[in-house]
Amino acid sequence: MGLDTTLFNLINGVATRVAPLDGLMRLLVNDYFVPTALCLLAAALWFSGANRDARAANQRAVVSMVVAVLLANVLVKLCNLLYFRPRPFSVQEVNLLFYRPSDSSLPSNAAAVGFAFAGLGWQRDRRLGVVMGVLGGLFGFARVYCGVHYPLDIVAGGLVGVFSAWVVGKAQSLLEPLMLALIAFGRRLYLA
Amino acid sequence: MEFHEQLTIGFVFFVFAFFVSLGFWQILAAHQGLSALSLLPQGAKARWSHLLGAALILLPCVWFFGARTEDVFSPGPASSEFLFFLSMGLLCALGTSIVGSLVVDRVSLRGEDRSENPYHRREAVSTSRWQGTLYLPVSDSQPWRAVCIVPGPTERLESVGNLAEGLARRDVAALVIDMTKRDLWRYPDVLATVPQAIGYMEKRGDLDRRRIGLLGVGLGADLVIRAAASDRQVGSVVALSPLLTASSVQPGLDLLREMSYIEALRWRRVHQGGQLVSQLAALEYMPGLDGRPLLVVSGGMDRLAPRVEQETLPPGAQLKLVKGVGRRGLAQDSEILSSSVGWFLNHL
Repeated sequence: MGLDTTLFNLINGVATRVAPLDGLMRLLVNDYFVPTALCLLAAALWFSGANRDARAANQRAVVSMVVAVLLANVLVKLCNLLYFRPRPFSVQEVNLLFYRPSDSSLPSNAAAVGFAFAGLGWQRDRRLGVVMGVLGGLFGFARVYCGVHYPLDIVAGGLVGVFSAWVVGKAQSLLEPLMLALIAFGRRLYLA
Repeated sequence: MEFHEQLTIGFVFFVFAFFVSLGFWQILAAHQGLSALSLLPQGAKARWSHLLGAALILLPCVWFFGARTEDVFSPGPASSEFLFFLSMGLLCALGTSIVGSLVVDRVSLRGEDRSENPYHRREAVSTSRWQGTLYLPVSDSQPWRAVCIVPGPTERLESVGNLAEGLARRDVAALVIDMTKRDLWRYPDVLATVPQAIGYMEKRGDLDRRRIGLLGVGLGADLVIRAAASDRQVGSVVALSPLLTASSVQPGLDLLREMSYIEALRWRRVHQGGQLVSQLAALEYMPGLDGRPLLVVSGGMDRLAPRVEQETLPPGAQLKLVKGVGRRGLAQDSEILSSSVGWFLNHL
């Protein structure tokens, strides 16, 4: 954990020194900005596509994203049941720019969600994957900067997210009935 | 955290999500051409929608992250609560976009000048089966050539008013049938509509019974092709965006590019999932025109009508593709207006 703590001190040490950077990180770290942006990107993907077939492929990707995020959440909860790591502010002096979460620090739920989106986004469209990945990465970085996670928590969360996306990507045939039903329902409402 | 505090944060986030989603729908409407979701009048430039959308996203962000920091930096909602409030915001914003777009449509249509002008006069026509409006030229060159205009089930009389006025201005009388009633489209009764209209025009002394043409829009175009194939008296036909195949009638997002949400609901009910298009079988009846002039007009951006090729049309038929025009606004397009009027002047 030495390197982890050193990296944390390096990143979190900058906090409170540069006011504009603090402002940016406080925008990225909260529970609303990045998740809302990721959800709206997924919603935009649902409606994009030059024709019905292309749109249906995008809609399958969106359904997969939802399933991957659910899976990532379940995996994080399971990890929390098996292992509890205290938050940085509980064990050392930190520059805290956020409230004090009480759940386990490792793995980071925020990073898991961000990278679950990004993993499926990458599978469907490389550019979308990069955009979502950057958002997920910034989300994770801001959590370290603001003193609520160690870097290793973010890496572990990111791996959980990517793993969830990979599993869901491999299980497309299992999800096909759900996808077909949701797309058909959307079409009946003229929203797919 | 107290329950009422959580509720307050949830409500504040819902308000934020609602306005951000409203902006999202406006940008999506502009980007995807979904006119049924646009809060700006039809014909407004896409950049205004983008601007409106961007403003609707940025302003709530400034308010939420700038002025509600206490809420933002307190323990937030769990994933399920977050998703609930965000979904509610998205759905409410979608409903607002649909209703707002309908209101804007109605207001802008009401604003259009449909008053009498010196180039034509109008007469209301009513039969036991249908109602309509007869646009008569003001010249003395009676009997006038006459065209029966059959709009689709979602087109109001006003939407084909331009065509009727354009014909009347060039000394061609135009009878527009109001086809918005669902009962009128019941098969096989619907087949009697055009012959009845032709019968009405024949009885009038001021119309030339030997020079009668038909013009249809959408499903109305399918109907006039079928009617013309069965009535050799029809001298010329213009079909604007005929559906021709049942596969053109599919539920889905594409409908919102061409009509309002309410019209899309009606469209699906009237078309009975494509059954009516199959029953009218316009494509199969086209050869029955026996070389009489037929102009098929399609909008280049029409997402519903199938791409018609000249080779699939019978002799005497001509195909015109108008770039940059969708199904919506087809009957109001000036190029289509001049082509249709010109067609009847040359072929009737």
